[in-house]
Amino acid sequence: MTKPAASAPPDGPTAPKAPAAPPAQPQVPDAPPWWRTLRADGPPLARFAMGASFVALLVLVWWVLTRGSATEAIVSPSKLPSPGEVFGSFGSLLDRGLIDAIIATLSRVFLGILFAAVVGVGLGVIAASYRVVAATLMPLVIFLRSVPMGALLPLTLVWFSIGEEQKRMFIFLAVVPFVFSDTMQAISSVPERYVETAQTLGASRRQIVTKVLLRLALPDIVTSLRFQIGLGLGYITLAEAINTETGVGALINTSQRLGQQAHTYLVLFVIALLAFGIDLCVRIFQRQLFYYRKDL
Amino acid sequence: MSDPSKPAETEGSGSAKSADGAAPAAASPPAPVDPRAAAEALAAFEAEQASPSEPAAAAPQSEPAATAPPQAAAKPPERPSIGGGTPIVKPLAPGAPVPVVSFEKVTKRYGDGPGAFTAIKDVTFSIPDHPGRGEFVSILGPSGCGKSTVIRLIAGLMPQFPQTSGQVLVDGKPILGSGPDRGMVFQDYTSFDNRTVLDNIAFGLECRGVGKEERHDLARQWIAKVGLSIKNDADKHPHELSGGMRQRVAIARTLILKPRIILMDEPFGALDPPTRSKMQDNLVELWREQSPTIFFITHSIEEAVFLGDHILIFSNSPGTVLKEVRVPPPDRPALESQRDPKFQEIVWGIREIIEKLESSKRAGD
Repeated sequence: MTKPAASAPPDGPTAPKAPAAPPAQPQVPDAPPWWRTLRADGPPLARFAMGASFVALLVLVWWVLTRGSATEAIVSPSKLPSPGEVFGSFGSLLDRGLIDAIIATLSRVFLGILFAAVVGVGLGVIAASYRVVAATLMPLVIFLRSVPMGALLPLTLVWFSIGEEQKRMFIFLAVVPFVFSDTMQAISSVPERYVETAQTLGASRRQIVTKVLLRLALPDIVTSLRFQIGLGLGYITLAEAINTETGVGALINTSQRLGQQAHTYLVLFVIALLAFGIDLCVRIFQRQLFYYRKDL
Repeated sequence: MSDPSKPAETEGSGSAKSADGAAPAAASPPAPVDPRAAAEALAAFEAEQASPSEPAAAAPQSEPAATAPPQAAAKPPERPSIGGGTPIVKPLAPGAPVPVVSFEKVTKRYGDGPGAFTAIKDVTFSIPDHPGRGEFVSILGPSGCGKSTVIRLIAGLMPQFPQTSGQVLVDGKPILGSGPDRGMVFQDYTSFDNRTVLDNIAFGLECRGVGKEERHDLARQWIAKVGLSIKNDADKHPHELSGGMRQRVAIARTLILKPRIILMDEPFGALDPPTRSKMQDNLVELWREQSPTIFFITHSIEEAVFLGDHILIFSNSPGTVLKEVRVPPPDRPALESQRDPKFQEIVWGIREIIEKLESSKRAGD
């Protein structure tokens, strides 16, 4: 029984090889293309090309839908102006004070987020380190996270009237519970062994919080703030649509009232581009600052 | 079948109490069956170690003894952190030196009722204090037998600390929490990712409030002592280091604080064999120089025998000390030493003991 079994394997591999082998070149199988491989990234240029061609397709559809005069177009210009009209109105939008509006909006968002970062990160670090604080604050945080922000807006008008303070406080209220939760999460996910290491090296509780927990969680906290800036840009246009003269939200509002649909669309694009640009800047800054974190 | 287990256990606790001389336990090894010669060699060594070689063992101490006094001088301010002068419940024989670490019937149980889990049960041992020469205690035992519980109790780390019952004493005083007098090196890499190698090693000094220049100077010395390059490695971040280099940083970071006790929980467990033996040699060198008492958990009997001069063998869960063995302290590099047939005999002797203890325990269940 053992003999035939033992003699078979040496023959086994050589037998099928012999007829296929003559070309002498061993056959190397082709790697499957990246677009068919699960979770594989293609070369950057190819990825960019994919995105760009999709945008081109969308613009093409848009162009087809809005082609011709007001009566010929499939979609009426009062609903959707043509691409040429929208991008061609850039000059007149600038004349209406686009730059000032952007500056006004960004300063509101940044001041609101800055305030939220100070309070949210500070409380989040303390709450994650001393869970008694977390247990105390949790009901308020859950309430603020679940309450619809649009409903909170009229109340902020009552509380803070219609000045700049109201805008900043609205952003602050909208963002701070998320900054708090994300900070707590970031601190909590620092592995316990770092805390233990610091303990056996003689670090005090305060030193563990400031030198270990906060420092190791900081990259994730900055990521959270980055997302909150995007969220804040969304909320601010909501606040600026009510009783406000400046800001991109007000610009959309007046465009709507003046019937300048092209400007409404253009401002949307500007806001999206702004959000993307800010996100990119913060991400580059983050990579520079936390270069030891390869996953950012 | 429960018969063989009983003598083994009483033997273990018996040798634990006599602490210094493990001779009585070794005189009757648990009936060697197959590698009779191996067990005999071990017994012969232990017997030889027990009486005549005590002074001989003191000879190599003379060198580290020179470095000991400053260390002792630096001790007093740290002592209050260990214990609050609570009277020792079980006074030792008059004149006997206070052991560095002693466990007296220590049990750790988690939870209550039927869901309770006992990690260690009635662990009793004591590690004597040889001035200027700390012992190297290897802790051997199967996975999940509570070896880490023992070490973490000494470190004062929760949730293992505090014990459910019994007494853990360091220098005769109960432990109140963790402190830099008991350094710990973990198996997992715990270098702080945001700090350079230099600042990782200087972390403990930074926490003590040592000035930047001074702590960096000291840290640089330690980079060299653990076999890293001051020029190339000091400014690297942990993510640029290999596993072995990270553990070197962890060892330097702990030793720079000159702890009296160093607790190592399988620090070389994740390293490849060549790196591992290099690290072992480096550790022995540093141990000679600083002479702390080291507790070293390992799964490798070779590692335990090579590094240790005192081996605690733990039983399966709930963990107890089954046996204490004394082996010769390392006198040669790891690879050379492990090629020695005499070394191999000791390893086989211990393997035999463990297998015997485990099979008798299994039969008892």
